Amino acid sequence: MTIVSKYIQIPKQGFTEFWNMERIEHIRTLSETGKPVQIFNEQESSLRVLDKIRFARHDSRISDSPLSTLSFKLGDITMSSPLYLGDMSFGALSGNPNIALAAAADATETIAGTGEGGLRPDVARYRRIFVQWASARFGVDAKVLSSGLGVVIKIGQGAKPGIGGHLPGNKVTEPISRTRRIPIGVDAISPAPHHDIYSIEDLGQRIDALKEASARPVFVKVAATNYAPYIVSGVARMGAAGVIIDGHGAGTGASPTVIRDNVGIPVELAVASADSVLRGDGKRKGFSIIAGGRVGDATDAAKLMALGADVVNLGTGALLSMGCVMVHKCHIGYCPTALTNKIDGTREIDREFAYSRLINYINGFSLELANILDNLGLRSIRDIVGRRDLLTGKLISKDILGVLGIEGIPVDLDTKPGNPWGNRRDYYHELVTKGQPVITSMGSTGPPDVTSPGRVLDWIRCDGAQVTRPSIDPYREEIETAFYLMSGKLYTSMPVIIDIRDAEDDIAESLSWASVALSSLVFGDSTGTYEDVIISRDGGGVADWSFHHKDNAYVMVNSVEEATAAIDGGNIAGIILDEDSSPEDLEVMISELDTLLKKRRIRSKYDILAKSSTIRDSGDVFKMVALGADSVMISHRVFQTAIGEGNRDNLLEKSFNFLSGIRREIALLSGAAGIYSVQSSLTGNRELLRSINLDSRISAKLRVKAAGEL
Amino acid sequence: MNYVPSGCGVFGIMRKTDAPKIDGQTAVTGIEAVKHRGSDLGAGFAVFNSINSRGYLVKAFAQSISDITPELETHGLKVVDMKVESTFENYHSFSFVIEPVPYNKLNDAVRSINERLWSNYRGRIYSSGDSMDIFKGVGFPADIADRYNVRTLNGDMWIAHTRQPTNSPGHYPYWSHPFSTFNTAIVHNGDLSSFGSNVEFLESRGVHALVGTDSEVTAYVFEELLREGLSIEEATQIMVNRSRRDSGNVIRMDDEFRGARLDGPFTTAIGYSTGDDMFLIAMVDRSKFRPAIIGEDQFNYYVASEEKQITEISRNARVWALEPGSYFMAGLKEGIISTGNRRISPYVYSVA
Repeated sequence: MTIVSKYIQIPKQGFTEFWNMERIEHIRTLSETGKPVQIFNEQESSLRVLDKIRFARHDSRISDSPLSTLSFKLGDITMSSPLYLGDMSFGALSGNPNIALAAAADATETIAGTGEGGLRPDVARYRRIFVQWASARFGVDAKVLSSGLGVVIKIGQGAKPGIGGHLPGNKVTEPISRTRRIPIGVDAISPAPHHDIYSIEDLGQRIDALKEASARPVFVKVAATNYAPYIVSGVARMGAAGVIIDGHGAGTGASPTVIRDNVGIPVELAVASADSVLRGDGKRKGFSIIAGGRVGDATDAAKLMALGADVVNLGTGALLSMGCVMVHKCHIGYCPTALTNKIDGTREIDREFAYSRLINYINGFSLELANILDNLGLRSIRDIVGRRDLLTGKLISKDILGVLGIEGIPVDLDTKPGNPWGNRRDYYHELVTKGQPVITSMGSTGPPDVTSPGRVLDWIRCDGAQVTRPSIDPYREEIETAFYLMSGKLYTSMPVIIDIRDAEDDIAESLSWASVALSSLVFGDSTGTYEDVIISRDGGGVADWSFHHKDNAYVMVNSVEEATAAIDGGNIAGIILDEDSSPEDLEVMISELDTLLKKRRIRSKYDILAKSSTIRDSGDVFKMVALGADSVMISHRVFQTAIGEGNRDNLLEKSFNFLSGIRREIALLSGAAGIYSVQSSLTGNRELLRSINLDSRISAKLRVKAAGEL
Repeated sequence: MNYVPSGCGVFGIMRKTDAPKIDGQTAVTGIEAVKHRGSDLGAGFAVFNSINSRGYLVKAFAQSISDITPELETHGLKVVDMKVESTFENYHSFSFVIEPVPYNKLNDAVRSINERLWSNYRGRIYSSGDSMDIFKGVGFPADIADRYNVRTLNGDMWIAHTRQPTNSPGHYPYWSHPFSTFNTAIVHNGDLSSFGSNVEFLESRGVHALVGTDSEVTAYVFEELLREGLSIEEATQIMVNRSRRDSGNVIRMDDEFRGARLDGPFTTAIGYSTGDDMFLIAMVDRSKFRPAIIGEDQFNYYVASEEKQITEISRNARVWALEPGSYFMAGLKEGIISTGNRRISPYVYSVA
């Protein structure tokens, strides 16, 4: 067996990463020394909103023995520092890290959340743990509930709002099986919602029951989503001790990539908004907010607390202190640092190593936090909570400044500093190989916070349904992804049409075949042998299209003006908005045309098809439909990227997988948003979208609210 | 527009053809039985009676009467009587009797006035009709009943609600239920994921200035579908949104009225008067995320969140659960049109 007892070298990061070398090195230094290193760190190039928030005035002295005190009471629990280490399960982590976390929480008088995976006896012997009551109830019994200082009802998590926990079957070995009480080798997919919590009244009953059963305070963990502030207000009304708000970008042991990258909002916006709602309702006093999701350092922690958090949650940070090298392979079970690997007796992390690094990390982190307080002229950690007046925003839009409730000169950023396509080959390659939603792990690397955004959609996130609107489990329930076009004359099993114009014959052939097999549509010039699924220009397919007006045909245009002219020209089926030939943003064209046709009360007479060659993932399809598109045309070039230039192996199977994978991912996103009827409930439903520091003028054109706005 | 979700308890009761009218105390009993599902942040009642010959009854919340009366007059509505019914902090409930005008004229006027009033939250017309009256505001159901003297009133049908908001913007009465359009009252326990689409559907039909709850949207969608020529049952079938596999909706309706379908959790009770007949409707989403119980006895039909709401009024009533994705519908004259449960067929009672 390999024992990991030192830091291993971090591999060169092949793509943009929130946990960049600078952040990881900072954590490693804290973890080696236990001393404060650097405060008021600035990540100049970062587009994350929290990095655009600064403390307006401060000194920058750093001392090993700062004056400010960090201790306070979280309800009845005395804390030495406002840190919560959670909620990583046994299963996601490989055992020793779970023990090290609980032991470190005891030693430092902080708290460790156990996550969903049941309670190992060697974790249960530590006192300062919060045990978790999650939707699958793995290994939960009355004794477990009263083992720690508190109970956490896990409703959602930031890495995958609207989706349940997921432990891939290859990691379910005997020790996991015993603790979770599930069969060996079987995927442990927790239900998306709790099936006994479909409303705020239901949640209230669970809170009461768990308080009664455990005699412990009950916290509720929610993902940062569009309506999270309302949920938080309901949680407070229902008598919980507090809430854990988990933001976009938080780590995970396994999550579908499209969910991780597209659903949920940054924690800084959710916390600011939730704090405002709680204050408005008179529910803030005596209620605690624990905030997590990309807490990179003590400076991030201080900012979140100034925005309204009482405690910050360190998950990924704690893993990095134990040696994580951020290779996003937790779900596979081959973690090089033995933190998240499969438990099979081949590799283990040294418990003492993990423990001592964590202790240093917590101490160093806390000392930095105390230094920040000193430099802000404050004396106690409680003095910073809710002090938005200490903050100022730089390069933040008017809408987002409003949500944050901080000073700053509103600035609209350049919408397209990056590449719209990005590095998507790995994602698509896995999609065409498996035909299933692509699974990944750890925090998102997506735009706009990490990867530089290349198109308007990159600034937009989707909603995750929670509590009052339960998410729907696409693994277990039917989500209707089918769309009718042309007033019901045309059927497609998903709002996706593959553009095979200019494709080589074998590619066009295989994509057409897959469209027949899956009852979807293709778009081309000449009909060929697939007349049942093609929208073609020669009049032989299921529908016609044209560059100019033609009766009952779709007309391809590249501006809203051309679209309205075509509609005014007479009887057509709809409009194809072509991104490739237009200088306009496709998103804006879709939304404006949708809005215009609604104003003229003729929207249901025409279809709006959005044609693009740069679809990042199925999330882009979902978002374009929510902006008003009736279907999205995806270029065959996307498929070619997926299979690799020149590769022609198993084309039929890969084409099938491509379409099938996209359909399943759309179902996942819809279920996460609480939608059964995708066509009826998603088309034009901008309420399910939020923008993250997007140019305010574009947000207004799209009619999409800012994240954190209610 | 801000979206304000809420959880809740609902209640509906309608008399049978030859049965006596139902007093307000019965409606209060029916909704107070699930007081625990609600809060002090909103409750309300709708009472239905055959046509009020005095004219139309229009009710509004506003800070000042001067915000409402001139608007009514500008829109060609002649006020023959006015009174202040109740006050919630700075907001008064005004009740107006309007000289009869064609239904469309009244309806267009109400929409237009609400658009103007709502642009700066000055006020809101929350009820209009010739056979329906609404009493609602901030408080538990019993408080609202006291404020409006609901207990002593009699009606052919009552709809009632107790509200559990997950948010309560400033404790305004605007967000209390029932929500109403002409002669239609709706109470709702749910949180529609289709809210945004339903709003888009309404905007595509020229309906703007909604207060921002899915409950109100439900009322407007119902009205809009009827306006577009659908029968009550067709409108209900579209809104209840069964799986396409077994919805029975024809594709044209599916396509034309997309955006009118409700998605996500809802248990909705609707009271509706056509002038000739009166209908009590209850519908529930396909997952049945929220409870919905139907009852029937010799005299009345019942819709409730919990069984005890019915049995506290009528100990021997027959009660059954609404099946997921189904609806209950009964007409005062027509009797039961749909029981909402395949195992239940309507009784035939004879009234002694």
